[in-house]
Amino acid sequence: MSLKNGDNGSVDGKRRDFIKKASLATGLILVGTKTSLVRAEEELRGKRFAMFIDVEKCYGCYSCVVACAHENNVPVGVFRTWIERYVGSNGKVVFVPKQCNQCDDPSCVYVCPVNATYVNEDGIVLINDDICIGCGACIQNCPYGARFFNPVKGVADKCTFCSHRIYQGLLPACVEACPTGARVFGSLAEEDSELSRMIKTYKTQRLKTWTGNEPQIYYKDLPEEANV
Amino acid sequence: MDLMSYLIDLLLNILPNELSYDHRVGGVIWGILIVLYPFFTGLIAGSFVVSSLAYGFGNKKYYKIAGLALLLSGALMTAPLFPMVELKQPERATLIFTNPHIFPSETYPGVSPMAVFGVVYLAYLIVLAIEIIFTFRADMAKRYEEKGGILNRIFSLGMGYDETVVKRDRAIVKTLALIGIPLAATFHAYVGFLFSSIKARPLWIDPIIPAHFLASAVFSGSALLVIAYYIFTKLSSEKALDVDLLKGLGGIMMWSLLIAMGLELISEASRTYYSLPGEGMLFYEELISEMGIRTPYYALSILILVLLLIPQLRSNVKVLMLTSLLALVQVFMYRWMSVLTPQLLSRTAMGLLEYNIEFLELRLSIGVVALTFLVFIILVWIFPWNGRFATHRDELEVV
Repeated sequence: MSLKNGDNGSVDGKRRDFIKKASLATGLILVGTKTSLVRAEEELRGKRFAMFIDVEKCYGCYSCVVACAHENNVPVGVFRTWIERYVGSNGKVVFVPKQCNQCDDPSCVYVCPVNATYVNEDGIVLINDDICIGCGACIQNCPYGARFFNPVKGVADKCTFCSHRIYQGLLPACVEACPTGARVFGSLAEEDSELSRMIKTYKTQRLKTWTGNEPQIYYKDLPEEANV
Repeated sequence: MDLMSYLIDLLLNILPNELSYDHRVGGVIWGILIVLYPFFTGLIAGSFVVSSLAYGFGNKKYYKIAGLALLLSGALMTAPLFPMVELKQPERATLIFTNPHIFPSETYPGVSPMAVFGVVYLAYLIVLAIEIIFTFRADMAKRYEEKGGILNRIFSLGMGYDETVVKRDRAIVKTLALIGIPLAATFHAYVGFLFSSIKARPLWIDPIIPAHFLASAVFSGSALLVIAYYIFTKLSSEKALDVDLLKGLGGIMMWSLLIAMGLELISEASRTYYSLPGEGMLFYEELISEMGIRTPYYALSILILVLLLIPQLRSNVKVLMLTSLLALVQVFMYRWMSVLTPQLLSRTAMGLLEYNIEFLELRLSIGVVALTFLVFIILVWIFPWNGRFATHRDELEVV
């Protein structure tokens, strides 16, 4: 389609020209909207791995905590994942599993002075043990207390979504160990993954969204007091 | 809330990793070494500002101590050793210079305030070193002529001390003194920014911290200069103290303390209004009173303010010495409060952590302080702090 129109002298020509320009502009706007929609979808980092946790299903057996410590050689006294116990006013006990939220906008990565911690192509926040100087800035700036100094390695440490397992087609150790299926792991980029379906089906909550970190652990039935 | 449930809250409402970061019982990540770090960078910035009042703005009153202030500032540049020895991997410390996280990208979003340190520190160190050399160059040349000596020859840069050369030296020093002020201010304010950029700690989210740090830096820097000037004059052959100079320093101390306290009151007032998540405010009050440092801190601040506000006391040399010593203690207390207190409030804002100084930390602190003294003694041994040219006692016109 060309914008140029030879017949500019007559009124008809001007009208035709206007209609052509208007339709082109409308078309461009539509295309632009389409592109921006596509871009919004593209903003997901690669597969954008995430986790869905059904708080109702967790009964606090600590299988995930043990499996994680076993899988990742986590030393005694520090935790890549842990379970918090809350007692409601009606006496009901609720268990909330917690871990690194693999945030989309991770404040821990912002403050690392030496590029030791980074976001990988699928949105997982990882640490390069060979570069980390152990200053503790990332530990300070994690709103979830998910980072810690690994006393054996002498560097900062945290949950990696078992990246060594998931790229081999396996599930994270905590997900595999959970006897009730309270944890669902998957890719947000895949529309038909179980994780995407769960998030679309249920109303979910995320922890401390006021920090602007965009956490990627989606909870179902999270009690208000557990949002710390 | 009854006592029992309060105690349970206090003990249990913390995250499991907070209990044993680094297996250090209590949960504080940055200890006394990081308290000493802003204390030292504050002294650097403060003493440099006073020296620039003379060399940069030509305030004749301060020429006597401007050289000494520069040497003090130079010796205190050991400050980054405090955070360095606190690192878990100190041998990788140079990565801050070689691999700084200052360019945001998809993989490494954000700019790290700690990485900016490398850039500012190096720039300031270079400016300070050149300024020290050119400030004392003519004196070193004179010394070399009189006594000889390899160090005197090196630092005289092979030139004499006639009028044109000294005038050119002073022009260079003036430029560097003026460039150095924003650099010194940034070097210190960035430490404040480093804390206020940690958004996971509700008590550090306070934009006033960098400004307060600067004001208290000038306060502590001039207090240190009063003490240093007193000691050095008593040790030198001169013995007579310049009361005008001390009065001037007292005035600087008074104004900077007024600004610092004003900023602090604004900060405290707004903190009582904005609500922390959960029962944070309650715990904050508990935290502050439990630490038992806030009341003595304010009492000391008021005492110092009274001592400085009364002109008769301010111009009394002995009282001013006492005030300066108290001022250093007061600023150290402020650093302690601003660095440690916010870390004692758990991220849940529903529990408290505690801080126990480890013996290793104490040893490291004493080591770095001792090293700073050593560097200062070496600098004073090399450069004549009250040299004729450095203190502008020669007949030359001030450039």
